[in-house]
Amino acid sequence: MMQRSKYTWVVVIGLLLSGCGKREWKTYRADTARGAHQERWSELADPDKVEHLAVGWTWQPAGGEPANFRASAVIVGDTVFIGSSNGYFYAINGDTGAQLWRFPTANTPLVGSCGFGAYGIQSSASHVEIGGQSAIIFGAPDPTSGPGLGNGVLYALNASTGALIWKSDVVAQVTGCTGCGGFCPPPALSQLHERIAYSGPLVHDGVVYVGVHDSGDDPIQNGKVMAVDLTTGHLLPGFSFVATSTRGGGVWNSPATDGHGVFFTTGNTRTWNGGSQGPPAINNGLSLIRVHPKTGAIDWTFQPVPFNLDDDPDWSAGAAVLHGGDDCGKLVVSVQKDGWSYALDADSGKCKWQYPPTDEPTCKFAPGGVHDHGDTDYKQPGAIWGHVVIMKVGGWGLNTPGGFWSGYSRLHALNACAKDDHRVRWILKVPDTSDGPGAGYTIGAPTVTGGIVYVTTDSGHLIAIADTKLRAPVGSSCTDEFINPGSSGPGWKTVCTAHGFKVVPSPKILVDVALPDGSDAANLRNEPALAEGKVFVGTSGGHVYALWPH
Amino acid sequence: MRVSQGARGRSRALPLLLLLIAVAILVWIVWRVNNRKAFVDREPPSGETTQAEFAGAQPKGAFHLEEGNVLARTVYSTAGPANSHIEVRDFKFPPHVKTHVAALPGPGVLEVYSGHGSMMRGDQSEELANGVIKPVAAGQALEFDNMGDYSLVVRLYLVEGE
Repeated sequence: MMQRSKYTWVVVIGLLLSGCGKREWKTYRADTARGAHQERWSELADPDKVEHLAVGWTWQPAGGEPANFRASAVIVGDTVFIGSSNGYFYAINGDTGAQLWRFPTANTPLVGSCGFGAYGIQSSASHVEIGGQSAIIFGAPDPTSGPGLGNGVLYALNASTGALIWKSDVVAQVTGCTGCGGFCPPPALSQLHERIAYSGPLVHDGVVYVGVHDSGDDPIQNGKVMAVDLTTGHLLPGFSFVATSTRGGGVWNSPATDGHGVFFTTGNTRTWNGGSQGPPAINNGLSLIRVHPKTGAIDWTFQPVPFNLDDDPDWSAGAAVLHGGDDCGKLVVSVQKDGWSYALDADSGKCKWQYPPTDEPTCKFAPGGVHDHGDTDYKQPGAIWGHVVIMKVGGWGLNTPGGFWSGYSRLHALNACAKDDHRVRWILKVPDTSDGPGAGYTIGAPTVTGGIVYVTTDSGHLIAIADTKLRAPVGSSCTDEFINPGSSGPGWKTVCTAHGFKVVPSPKILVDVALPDGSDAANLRNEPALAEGKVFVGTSGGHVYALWPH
Repeated sequence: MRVSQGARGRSRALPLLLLLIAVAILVWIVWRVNNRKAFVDREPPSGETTQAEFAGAQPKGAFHLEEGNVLARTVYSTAGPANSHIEVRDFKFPPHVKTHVAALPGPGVLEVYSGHGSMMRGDQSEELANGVIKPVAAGQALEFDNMGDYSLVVRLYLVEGE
């Protein structure tokens, strides 16, 4: 009997061990490098299966409270975690779509009483172990902090029960409710209107980092990165990053790490709602920055748009780390709000390339330039698949007057380790979007697994695209989209190459799923999370959908 | 026949050892399946590709093709004061070739939007780079030499007398 029981244990333990290595999505963009790549195989990486992708279950809050999902889901084990701008955070069974718990359980949402602190939860959570507990961390306004205007804090919850483990010290302050409304009367400039809405927490080496920005530049606040101790939630002594010596340089994104430094991008400093200012003595606005993880001291900073061209091209996409190996080393890649994208050496901050390559090799615009560096909408990060970056970027249209919007509904796949003339791998004009000059939020941040790219649209569609290595392309286009059959006739390819551009393939769309509520699924921090063979999408219509091949 | 204690121990250990090996193989197989990488470096699909079709976007504000692969468009046109006519035109000149623009019907101002090269007026050459602004006289033929690797993009503000 004893012997049999011993054998049984051997088998059980063995099978349990073999189950390790789940296909989870534990933070915004999958992991702390923010590459948005599900590296483990599932049917979502099989083009034959993906053609049969369909909605499996639909969830909306069990309590009937209206929701709006501007953040995206993280998935740990079989549980889906997502916060809503209604101020509640939810756990859902990933297999059945049944609600497991809600935080707070009482009808007291995490929303401040002042508009500057009334944003709820608009960025994704991060999963981590705290003292042996499976925990989930997210940022939100705390209605019980101070006078309840909406000071921003981080919450750490037990992932199984939703019980509070800790609430952090205040990381973003709202000290008043006076807005500028076109000009900044007193006391607007002396009040703090800080937010952590669009910055998902980064957990690295026992520390939680989050970016601080403002609310619609009303008025602009000084950008910060705050760091708290993972076990206690208390501010980390000795860590400080502040973007400027006056105001500006908001951190609108989720910090990333390569295991050594902490990377993020910063917003504008010159012009803002209700005012403007002279150049700050210390100005790390409009920059991609690496800081030391223990002190916040700047290791390097890269600022391509000079102060006098700052017409509000906040750099809000954040950084993603790409491991280029012997081909191009370790890079951080991003796109600035004006549509120009960059790859920098992660260790030195030196520019490796700019796309389109307007001012290489420095990749910095001269102060007298004529390009648009305004409040345009290239705000979402890219997905990394091997040496390929898939991202919404402006492309060559940026070098045509008024062409700043030409990349709004297009995905570019860029070869990160190639030379400039082979930079573009493919371009896709994504269908089912409200395309046009005023429609900046047409597609969400893409994600990828096995060369299949997933992206949501503002018309409520989820689209899966096969890299040209998986499926033959369906056509082609010129890398300068102003060169096409309409402008150049049947010889458009000849004209394209005569102008120094490339004719590049257009990849095949495997499936285009209309989500049932038809609402916007391409909010600022919406991404299709890829876990356990399912795609999880939240919409502004208040639903979470799980899709898988049927 | 007497069996030694060591032999009995070995005979008991053998099934356990075989079971351990079998479990280890099973664990390895399941682990491999669970941890398969999604990145599969496949060969590109065989067969004819269909890149011949145009599958891009045709944005508003389209250009048209002129002689020498020059792309041109009029982005704004209106009646001006004193029977004049005001036009804003964009040009894209291809790289590494010299191209001409016909004599202008009125005076104007030229602004370089992207690229670098030179402009010949008569026998005078003037350097063009991003942000440079140059006045151009009516009736003057212009020759552009794009020295960059990509289009030289120029905007022309033109005032045409009736």
